[in-house]
Amino acid sequence: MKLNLTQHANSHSLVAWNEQLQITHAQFLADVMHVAAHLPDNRYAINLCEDRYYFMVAFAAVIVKSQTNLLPQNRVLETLDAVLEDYADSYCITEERLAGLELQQLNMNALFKKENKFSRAKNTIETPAIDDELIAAIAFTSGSTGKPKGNRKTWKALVMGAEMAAERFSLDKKPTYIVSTVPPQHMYGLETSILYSLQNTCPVYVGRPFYPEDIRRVIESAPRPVILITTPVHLRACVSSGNLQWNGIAFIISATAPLRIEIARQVEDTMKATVNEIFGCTEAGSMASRETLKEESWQLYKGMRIYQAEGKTYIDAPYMENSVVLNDIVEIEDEHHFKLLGRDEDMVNIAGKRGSLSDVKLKLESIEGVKDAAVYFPDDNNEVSRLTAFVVTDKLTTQQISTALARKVDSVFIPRPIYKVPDLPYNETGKLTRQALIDLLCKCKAKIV
Amino acid sequence: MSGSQHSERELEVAGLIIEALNLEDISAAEIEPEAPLFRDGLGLDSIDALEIAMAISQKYGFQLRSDDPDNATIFSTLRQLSEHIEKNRQ
Repeated sequence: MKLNLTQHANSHSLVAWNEQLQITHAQFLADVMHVAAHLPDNRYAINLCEDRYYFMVAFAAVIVKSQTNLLPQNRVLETLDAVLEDYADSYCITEERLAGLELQQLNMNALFKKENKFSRAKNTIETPAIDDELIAAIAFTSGSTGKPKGNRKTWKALVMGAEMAAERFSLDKKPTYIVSTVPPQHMYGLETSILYSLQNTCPVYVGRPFYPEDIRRVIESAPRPVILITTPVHLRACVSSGNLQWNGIAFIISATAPLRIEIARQVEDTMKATVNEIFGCTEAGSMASRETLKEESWQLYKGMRIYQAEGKTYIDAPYMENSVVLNDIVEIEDEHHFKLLGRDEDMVNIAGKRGSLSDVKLKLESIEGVKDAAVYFPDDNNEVSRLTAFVVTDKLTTQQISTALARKVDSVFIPRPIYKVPDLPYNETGKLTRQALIDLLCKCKAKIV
Repeated sequence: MSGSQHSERELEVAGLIIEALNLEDISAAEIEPEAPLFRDGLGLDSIDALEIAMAISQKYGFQLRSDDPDNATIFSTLRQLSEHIEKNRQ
């Protein structure tokens, strides 16, 4: 079966905007056809575009050509090389040449400078239809084995996910403008900015406001109704950055990590908008939501199913062949509601990025000169806590370890501080318990190791 | 780097960075005024930039913005950051 690339009903319907530009559906389709005509014939495209409109055009052009977007979790060379090991038939789309990446690189800035032959007749371009079984994107998460894990997203999954969200947030009732701080390569960012724009006809702001004042200004000048799609890290910054005046946000959506109740309360007070949270994972996409200050329980999107078997929790989506195992510990209340009780101890969430402690440990141990390593994550409920590492080495300084690790992992997973220790406190069964690491941390802080 | 003397403001801003980012294994005097703050220097990243911006807005009463043409240099070194604060504080 085929499903349309967009649901925009006419050629002048707005797809994206910024302070200077209003990008209509007709212009968008002309840009997509223009870029598609210049794509190589490989199977995969690593889409690294930072500009949200470039990302969106590249994303659409790739699937119009029946190819697959690869969405790595960062642009660290080792991550990209690991992705290429499994997806050799790839090229890369960026705005700026990435040094050190041995791969054909397509530059969007250069492509947009070329004459677009589709522009003249843009109002007659028909909306392309995409095979619903096409793997439109593969979103990568860091596995626990040191290798990124690819999560395949069919076009059907992305379209149905957008429909479920439209129903939950009433996005289908009237055009809602979207301002997002989340990168489109992140599954949550892809769903809520790119797919909401294509499938729920929500025009999206093309930039990625970063500082609280950036976000405030974009919101101030945005058409109404406007919603803010963001993360706990940004919300905390927005409410803690002096006396900013917020007005006119219809509602806020936060995801990537749980939002603390205190922050949610401050957000509603100062930003004058209701906060909703989305619960999801890269494997299954968005699956539930809640209004943070009203509900403790999460309400599943219509059509999603949650169940437990043999001590594990599974999620079923109408667009997935197989159930997905959840890394979180949940209590199922009824068919439509569940509570989050905790998470798998190996998986941590730092500034909205999910990673595995064992993965960071393996990468530390792969640095030449490191004999042994352990990684600890403080459970202190702070949005921006970092990992702590204990490393056994006679050769390296902590600065050298940190620099070497930066070539292998996303910067948020580089431990800070890194302590050099003579050995690690293994117990009789050869395990490193969390308590042993806490004790070691106390000793390191007191400088008695 | 050698011979770089910290001004009073630079020591103050270094202290603010250490506090905002919980850099418990370094002292204000150890942050070289002319050394890079981000990768290869202190090793900071964009989340840290957001934290530092938050601390600056609280202490010095002005907001950082992505469309500031000076952005490429503001966070390059402690000295640049201190000068930017000096120019913009309220």
